[in-house]
Amino acid sequence: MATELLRLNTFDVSWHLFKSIAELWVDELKRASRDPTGVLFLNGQEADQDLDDEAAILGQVVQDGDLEPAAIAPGTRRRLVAVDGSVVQLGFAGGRPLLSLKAAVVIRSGSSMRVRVVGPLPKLASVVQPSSTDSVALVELRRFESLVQKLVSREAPESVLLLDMPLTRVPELPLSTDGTSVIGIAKNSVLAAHLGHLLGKAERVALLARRAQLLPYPGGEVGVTVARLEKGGIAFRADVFPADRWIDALSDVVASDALISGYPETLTVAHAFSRHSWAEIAAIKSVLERRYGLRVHEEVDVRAAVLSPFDGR
Amino acid sequence: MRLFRKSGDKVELLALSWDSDLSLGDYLVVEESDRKILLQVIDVEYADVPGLMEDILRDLSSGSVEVTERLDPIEIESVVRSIRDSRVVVAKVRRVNGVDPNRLWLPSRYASRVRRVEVSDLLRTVIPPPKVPVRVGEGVVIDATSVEGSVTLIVGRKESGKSHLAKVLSSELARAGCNVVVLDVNGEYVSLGRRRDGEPSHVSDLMTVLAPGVNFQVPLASMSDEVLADVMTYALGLPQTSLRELLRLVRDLRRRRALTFPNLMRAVQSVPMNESVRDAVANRLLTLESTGIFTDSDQEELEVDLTSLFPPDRGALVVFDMSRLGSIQRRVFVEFLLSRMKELLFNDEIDPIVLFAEEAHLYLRETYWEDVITRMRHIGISTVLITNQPDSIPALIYRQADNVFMFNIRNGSDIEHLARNLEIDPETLRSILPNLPPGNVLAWGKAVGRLPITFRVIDPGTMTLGTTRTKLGRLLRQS
Ligand SMILES: Nc1ncnc2c1ncn2[C@@H]1O[C@H](COP(=O)(O)OP(=O)(O)O)[C@@H](O)[C@H]1O
Ligand SMILES: [Mg+2]
Repeated sequence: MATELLRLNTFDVSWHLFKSIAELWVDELKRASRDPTGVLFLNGQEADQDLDDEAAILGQVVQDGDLEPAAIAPGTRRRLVAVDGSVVQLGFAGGRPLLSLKAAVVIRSGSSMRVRVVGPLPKLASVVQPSSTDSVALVELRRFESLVQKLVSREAPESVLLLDMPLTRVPELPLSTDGTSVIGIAKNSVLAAHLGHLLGKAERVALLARRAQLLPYPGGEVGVTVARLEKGGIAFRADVFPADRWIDALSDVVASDALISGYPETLTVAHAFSRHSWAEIAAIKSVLERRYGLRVHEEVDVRAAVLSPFDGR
Repeated sequence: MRLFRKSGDKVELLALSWDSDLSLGDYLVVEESDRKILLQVIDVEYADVPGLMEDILRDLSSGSVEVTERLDPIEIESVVRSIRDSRVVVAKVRRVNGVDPNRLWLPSRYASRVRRVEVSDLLRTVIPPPKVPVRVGEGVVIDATSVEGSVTLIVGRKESGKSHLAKVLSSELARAGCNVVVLDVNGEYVSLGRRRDGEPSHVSDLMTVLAPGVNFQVPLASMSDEVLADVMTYALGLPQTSLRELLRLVRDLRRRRALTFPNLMRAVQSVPMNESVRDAVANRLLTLESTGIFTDSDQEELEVDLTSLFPPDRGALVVFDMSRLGSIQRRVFVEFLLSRMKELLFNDEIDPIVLFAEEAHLYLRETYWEDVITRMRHIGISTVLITNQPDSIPALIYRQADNVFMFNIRNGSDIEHLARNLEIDPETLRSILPNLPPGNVLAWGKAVGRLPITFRVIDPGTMTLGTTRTKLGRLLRQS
């Protein structure tokens, strides 16, 4: 009871935090839209999330040589917390990309899952120039997800935190307190494709490809692994923190989650709930226009594209 | 609401659920600068909004998934719900304004504005200001002159509100100054004289209720040869040769001022004639007498002079309560009444009549229908036909009808019957008629500017007697 209350309170705090963050973002947007060019809406486009720096890792792995697959037996049942996010570029305002950000947090204990949805929230990109590998939208998404991850890791002691990206790409790793493990999973991984065959025929198996120093102190290492958690399931890249306990962490996931094609269901659910639906994109545009009085320029064919699901019937 | 697709005369619009509530039959105007399209809503469907993944996932996932919290600081969830719940409004093009008919024009999906128009505003633009205004619905005022002198049909299934509208129309026309005659098969129009609180209604002064055979009788001697011939021929099916024999005897007795049933019968029995003719005539005379509608004396206190029922300086509402008449009595009476009214109209003894006939197929002969639209209206009888069997009215009448008021109809073949014979597209009828709530009507014709218009018929608050009488009903009211 007391812990429930505590959790409620922390979430309350997060809520207020997000509310003020969102208000800040909207204020900024309102200022930008006073610009005579107003807001230009485009057809909402989800940012590509596939870009990665895996080639480098792959090179290091090959140099390191000997890779031993380890068996993953179901371990201890733990609470799982999965976090995922998505970003959509709505258009431009004041010469800056206008984005919508959304995240989902799924908390699994036993067979029941509770979902917390954050957003969608409109935001003007604070970066304008894309980096060499990532689009502006993706950079903003990483920052936003990182914020959500930090908030939930604080209220999820002793759990396994599941993220939908390689941990090497997380801008700020949510610091594990009280024995929290963090696993970052990348489905479309060159690494997994290259090393998958090494996993052999065993039912549940994983190998440690390399260790990456993520935090500048002893024990601040991430284990980059390739794992197959189910017979016949896909092999994917799983970055585990802390690196030393990579087998335990993966074993606990096997014990605690249902698997969908070998992939943790909790993360699948987070992924699904974090996507922007068509209706949400339409709604956020409408709210910006009607409630915040943004002057919106809309390209005719763009609106047609938004309506296209109807046209296609 | 936005215009979104068009094919032929059908237009689809996208509406969010926060757009004003629309009903079938509502009118919309699509405007772009000075060009306008008038649309009528014939269907509303759920839009096929993508992204219902969350709901589907909830069902598919192995455990129970529950969204416990939403951090939604800018409160878009309600807007999302409203978008998910958005509708595709299907409408028909009724008019196009301000457009060169030789040029193809489609309003822009983005620049055009869609707004709803109230029926009252619409009527003001499509019909001239009524010379004799008659209010039939909320904001719906029609011109009495578009009903008098016309053929009007009221169709719909039982309990849908046909008689209610007929009562509103008949009393309003009488108040406007028309001579209204009602053939009341169920004895329900009697109620028009009283309000629900029992006080006299606004037409009670104009109203006369006559029950043939009870407080309305006709001296045999007062009937002209022509009227008697009509009754004998059309109601009783007396062959022409026999009729000639009968009329010869009638004229003879009339000359001697001795035209009574007994005298006529004696004459039929005694005068030499073909035996089968004698039988035919005798039979018809017995039937005629047995109706109780015709009497021998011309001093009878029950005699009512039809001309006095229709004073030239005001309207009149004459209700013939036929609820206690058998089927032959009904046919005989109606044939007499029509024939007599034609005679009076022909001789300019009364002003034109508006005849309300409920379930007319029960008592009108086949040839009457053509008469209605050919001779009758020229003589001065305009007809309002009320029926729950739309196929009992011949196609000919539908095609000539000036006004048609359609209430709820669910029967598919009845709807097809209307669709075949009216100038309204079948899709509109199929979608609107089965969905009309009781008391709501789809009106079309002269009275409403030839646009199909739906509205709820007003409730003038007169007593209702149209409902079925049951003992249980009475006991329940008493308890
Ligand atoms: N517009 C209306 N307002 C109020 N009551 C109505 C209305 N239309 C019909 N009714 C009531 O509904 C019942 C059935 O209507 P009625 O006209 O007798 O049906 P029908 O003649 O089609 O069988 C009656 O009790 C009538 O008073
Ligand atoms: Mg009725």
